[in-house]
Amino acid sequence: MPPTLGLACAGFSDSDRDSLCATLARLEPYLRARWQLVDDSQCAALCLVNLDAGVDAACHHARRVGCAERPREFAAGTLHRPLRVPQLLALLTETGRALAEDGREARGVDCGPAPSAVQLLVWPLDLEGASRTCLHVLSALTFAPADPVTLAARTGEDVAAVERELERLMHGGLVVRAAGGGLAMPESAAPPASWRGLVKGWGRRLGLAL
Amino acid sequence: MKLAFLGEPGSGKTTCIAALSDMAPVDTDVACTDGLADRKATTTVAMDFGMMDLGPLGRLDLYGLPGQARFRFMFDVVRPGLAGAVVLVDASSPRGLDGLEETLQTYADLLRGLPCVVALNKSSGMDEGLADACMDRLRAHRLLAPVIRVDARRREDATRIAELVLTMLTYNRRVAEQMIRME
Repeated sequence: MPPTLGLACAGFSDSDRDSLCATLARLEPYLRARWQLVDDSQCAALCLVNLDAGVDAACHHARRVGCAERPREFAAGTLHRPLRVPQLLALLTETGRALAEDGREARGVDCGPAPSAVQLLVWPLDLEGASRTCLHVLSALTFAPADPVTLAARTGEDVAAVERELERLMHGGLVVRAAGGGLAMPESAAPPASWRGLVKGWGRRLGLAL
Repeated sequence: MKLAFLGEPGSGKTTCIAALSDMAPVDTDVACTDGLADRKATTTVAMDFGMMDLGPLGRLDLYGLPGQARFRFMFDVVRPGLAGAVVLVDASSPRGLDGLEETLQTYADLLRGLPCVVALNKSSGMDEGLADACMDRLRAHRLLAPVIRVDARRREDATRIAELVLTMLTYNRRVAEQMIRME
């Protein structure tokens, strides 16, 4: 029996929700998990946020993806609205897989406030003299927003050092803090632990200390 | 594992590959017969190829691909096992920014989600606003990538590019999964 995952959508009209509900039914044969539309106030594995409606970022869902009529005007990872079926299929497939890997099911996800995630807007223009911590934090944030604790775990740096870097980047307007966990992107999960060792090995062969 | 170098003619793809490669790069350079002859004697008509030996960990293949839209099909040749991309810009040319725009128009959708570095080559004495303008173009194409100044002839500069790509690669789940599947 496939797990049932909750999908919330914040700031969507009733007709948008009806359309999404019908699309989910059509996509069911192509997904490993069964996705069910739930009320925004309920616990959900994923929340679609209508950015055009100016929905407050302080949404309580840990995994959120923005949708907009003009997605290019928003952060990377924003989906087109009205939703396009191939994009939705890719998002649900990826989220379902990431949740399965995390060993969590949507119904069991803790809906308490997620730690404050940070999203990279742009790389600094001057990387001369950038610390190793800074480069690793920027690299990690390039592919997914993350909170300082997650970043520290991924980069192998101290939480305090990561927070110092984030403060500096935030001061320069290069990153923004997304209250409530920020926008979850399809690539939000980290690579397998063994991957870092492999890349380090490649770096060593090239004379680099990554 | 592969690394792709993209950019307009004269941006330094062949030079950068030559600076990194353990072997003499295989190139497809021919004499220019059009307006490009004013800027350089030869140009690449297909792709460049170089290689870095990674010992028991395999090798890093280096491919140089033209930035023009008509060559986009070549990307499919290098896509399996592609670890990242370097977009080169001729910072000394008045049409360097146009070259970047054409490269982004051709490849941006393929580069999103990949480790990507934009390298401003021949950057001594370049217009200070160029890096800023390049960053704006990247944002317009929804690409997150560092923009750095390099001299593609210098191995240490080329190595700095590789270091940035590998640092970014450390955190890229998509490429990691692809590589692990291929092993």
